[in-house]
Amino acid sequence: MLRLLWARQTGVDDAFRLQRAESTRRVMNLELSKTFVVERRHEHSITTLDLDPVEMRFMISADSEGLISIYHMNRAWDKPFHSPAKSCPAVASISGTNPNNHKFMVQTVQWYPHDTGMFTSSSFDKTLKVWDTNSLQVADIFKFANPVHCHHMSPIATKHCLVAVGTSNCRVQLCDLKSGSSTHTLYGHQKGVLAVRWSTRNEYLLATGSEDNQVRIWDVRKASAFLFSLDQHSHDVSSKPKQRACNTAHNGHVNGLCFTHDGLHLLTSGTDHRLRLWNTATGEHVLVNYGKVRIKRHVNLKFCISSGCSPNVAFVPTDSNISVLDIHSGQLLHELVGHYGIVNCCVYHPLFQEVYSAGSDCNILVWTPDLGRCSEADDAEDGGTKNGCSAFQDTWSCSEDEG
Amino acid sequence: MSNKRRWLPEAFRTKRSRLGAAAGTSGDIWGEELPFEDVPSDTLTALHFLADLLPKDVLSKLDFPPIVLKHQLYSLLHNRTTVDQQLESLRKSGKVQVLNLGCAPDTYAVVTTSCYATRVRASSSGQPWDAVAERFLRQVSEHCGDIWLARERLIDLKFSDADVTKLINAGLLTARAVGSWWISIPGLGKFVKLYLKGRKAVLLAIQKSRHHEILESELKNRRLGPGAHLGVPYLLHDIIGADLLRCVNTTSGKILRLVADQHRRSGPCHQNPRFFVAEPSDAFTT
Repeated sequence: MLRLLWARQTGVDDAFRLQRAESTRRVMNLELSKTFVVERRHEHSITTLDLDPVEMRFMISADSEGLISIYHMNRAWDKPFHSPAKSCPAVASISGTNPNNHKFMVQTVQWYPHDTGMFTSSSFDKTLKVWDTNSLQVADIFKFANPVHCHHMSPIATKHCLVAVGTSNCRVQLCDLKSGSSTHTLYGHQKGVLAVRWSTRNEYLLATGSEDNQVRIWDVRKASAFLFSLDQHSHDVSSKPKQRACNTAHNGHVNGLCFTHDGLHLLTSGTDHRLRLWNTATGEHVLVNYGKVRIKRHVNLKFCISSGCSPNVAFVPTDSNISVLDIHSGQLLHELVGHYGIVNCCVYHPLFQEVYSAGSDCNILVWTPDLGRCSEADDAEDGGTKNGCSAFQDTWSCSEDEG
Repeated sequence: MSNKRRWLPEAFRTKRSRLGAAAGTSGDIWGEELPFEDVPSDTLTALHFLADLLPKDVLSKLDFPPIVLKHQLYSLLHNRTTVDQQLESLRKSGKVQVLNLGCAPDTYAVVTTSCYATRVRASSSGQPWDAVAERFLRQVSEHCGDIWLARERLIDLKFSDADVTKLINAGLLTARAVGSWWISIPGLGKFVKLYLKGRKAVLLAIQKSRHHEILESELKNRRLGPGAHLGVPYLLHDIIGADLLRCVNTTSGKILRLVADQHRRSGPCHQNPRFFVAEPSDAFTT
């Protein structure tokens, strides 16, 4: 650390090296926070979380009974490390008393990417609702014929305001928030769509994963919209248009998608217990083997990828733990253990290198980097090595002095 | 804290440049003409090793080439990503043929192309599909190294519908979906039957032992049921590679433990005693 600081000071290293090194170190040392807890509001299994992308101060959670809560993730920087646990309070919630409340399980909530004044939520009651955060009123409702599995708004879009919606129908709908109606329908999948995700690099690029084992990449500007579908056996993707119908990305339903921060790679998860990494430019399978990851669930899986680290890692909920996997080597680095039930979702805080996770035990847990600053005593006990203070102390036995 | 030290990023580790390790010097030591292309990769070596584990008498009785399962490689080589990449390059260069076994979703078998061709020629000689099978070998298996073929691809290679029917009869293609076929090898079904039986026999032996774990040496000496024709070492590599068993090194040798059982015993809730739910008042009032 000191060496890197010195190198940065003298200009030997480039600007990002110190930042990357330190954030990598923090991500590798994530542990359950000793100082922060999130207020417990939910009585039922929490299905989804989202952190606001502008200030990263507010987080939404939603549960299987339709309750939506907003938390203020306040950070007390002036508090010493040994202060008692601080609670992040819930500042608002939409419960059964609200007339516009979702009736069934909420599958996805997402903040409006450019402002915290608005958020969207979709549910198994076949609706997608757009909420005004300040008044907690519904601004707009989109109704569908089938239960909604997932929706996503582009995090980088400046020229469109489209929400991609995947339902248990095989069509993917694009809803325009400006006009309040569904503008596009993307045909191609043969079964229900479990995951949709906009690219983090190209604002018109959309990836969808479906129960027919396919992952399709779309460009919404094109008339046919369909670019290619990913194939796990790495066939030449651009060779034959008709051959794509037989391409499969997984041997089970595709239930989760996540682009890396730079948008160059796409990580997909399937009910065949596999994660696969793809090159988004060519659609090639980057042959990274993550081994068997226990992710067999037939609803959308929310996992996340860290950003700004030198090997970037994926945080994937597996049963009651969160696996931390190196996305380019496929190595399982460690597991975050602490939930009492199945973990449903996790989100990554790119500025503090923290992870928030929630699951069927109704708790939201905060995973913070533990750099060993407050546990020097444990350190000495574990390793049997003397810490800095004891090295200077006199270890001479004083029995002679006494006698 | 030892855990902490392990996950230091590369940027924190000081890299000291060694004298003489500068670019170019290593090439001078070994000479330019060292044939690196002929040196087999780890994966190829492991393939040969696993193929040698198969008992010869069973293979000759089946009239079948030595066949290796893809996940068996994972039990020998620990970096699965490298295995996948090296196998992919072997497949693309036409040295091996990868086949779908069809018994479980993610099981693939690997045969060297020469063995594959010998087996196909032996089984199709004198049959009405002899010519088509020969053309299939030349055009498909020796060139592109595909795992499955779509109808459009077969039409490009000038295979008519009648030819496809002949290839299916010959056991070179098996149905995958509408308009696509897996590449197969004649007599694969007999092998799969033996393999599944053997796997079941080994798993049963471990399940019957105390605590669902057994020493490797003990298992190899044990007389298994009638199923394990393919030999215990071969089947053990298969089961370990498929993540059904976990190896624990002990002073008296390797212990094999069933994985599913291990998950059930140490439930997820009891692993972190330090964690405590924030509001104990709820627990008392309700």
